[in-house]
Amino acid sequence: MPYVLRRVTFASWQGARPPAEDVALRALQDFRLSDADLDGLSVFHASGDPERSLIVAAIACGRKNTDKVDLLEIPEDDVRALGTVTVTPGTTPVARANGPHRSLAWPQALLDQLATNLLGQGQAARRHNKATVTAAVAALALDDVEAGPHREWLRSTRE
Amino acid sequence: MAMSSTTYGDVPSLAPVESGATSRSRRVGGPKIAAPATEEECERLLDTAESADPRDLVAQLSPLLGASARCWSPRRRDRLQRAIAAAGMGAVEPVLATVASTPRPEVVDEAVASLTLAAGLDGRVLATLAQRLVESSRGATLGIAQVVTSAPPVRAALVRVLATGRDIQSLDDRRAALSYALADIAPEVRDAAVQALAGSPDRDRAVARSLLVERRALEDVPFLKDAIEEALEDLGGP
Repeated sequence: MPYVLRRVTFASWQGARPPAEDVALRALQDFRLSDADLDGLSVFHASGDPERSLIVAAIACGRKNTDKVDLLEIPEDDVRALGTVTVTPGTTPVARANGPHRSLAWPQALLDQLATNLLGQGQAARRHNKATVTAAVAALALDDVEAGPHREWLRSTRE
Repeated sequence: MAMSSTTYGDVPSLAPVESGATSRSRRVGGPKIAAPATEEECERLLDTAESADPRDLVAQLSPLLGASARCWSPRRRDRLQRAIAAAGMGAVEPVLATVASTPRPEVVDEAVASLTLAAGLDGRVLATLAQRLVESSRGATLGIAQVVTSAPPVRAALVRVLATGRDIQSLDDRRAALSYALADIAPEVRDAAVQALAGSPDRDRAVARSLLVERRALEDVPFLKDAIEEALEDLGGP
């Protein structure tokens, strides 16, 4: 089943139904836009393990560490029920992961509605721990990563 | 892989255009800088930032961390983080204010990276952040944390920066601060502390283990109990 991946704060997305008020408020912040977010909310489209793993690796390369990556896997239909998913270029250093990048260029109220719906459904985040992230990064070829500091970081993980 | 109702190309404008800005630029963080919308605008902004006194622009640059905009290539994101970090102690408050106002993971990641770089340039940064974390974690637990920039996402970001502090002078501060964070009232902060301790360097592993073992007996949030077990496995030892 195709889904939309969104990075979130693991502690706020534990699947409690209903979540505590403070937890829900914090969860909404994972969907909050600022004036600098000209493309809307950044998400990725994925339909299986290889795509998910590539995106996890790209996130790790972007920040140059193999720390955990916490993701919501949102059924695509739940997103499309509220609005349009826009293809926008991703900005990770892994070109192959930028293809499935999408944006939710929605008003904040609609993003809040999506988050609220997901909380109401008991949607829980999935944690990709350090071992999983390390394995995902190890599966990348050096050439997968943009030349420069990010590729150098990847190279350093193999020394 | 196109999806049936996916649209291609530009996303719609979400806010009124500022006078003098490009068609998709909007002002951020102050009266003089618009969020760059094009590669050229990004380059111009970064060139300006790199040639100016870093302290002059850091408040305007910080809100651009983690921005969801196509003009921010990985290299430009790196340059932005370095330009902000060059302000040293001057970077602390603007970056933490950005985390407080937009605590999305991608924003926090870049804020942590900036502050980590700042700590490498200015020896006062880590000690200041450690003190800040101790005070805000203690304040939150006692219900007296009134400062917006001490909110849970900020405390979690402080933990992550402190986790990178490896110099001998900062170790005591780091241990004390992580110990407080491990008992923080917010699970998000405790999670960050567990992750930080799991990545402790060899010389700190025994201390990290003892802190985690102590916390394991008190922790009642299931995912944190799991995280502590996993961290203890990562740390190895008895």
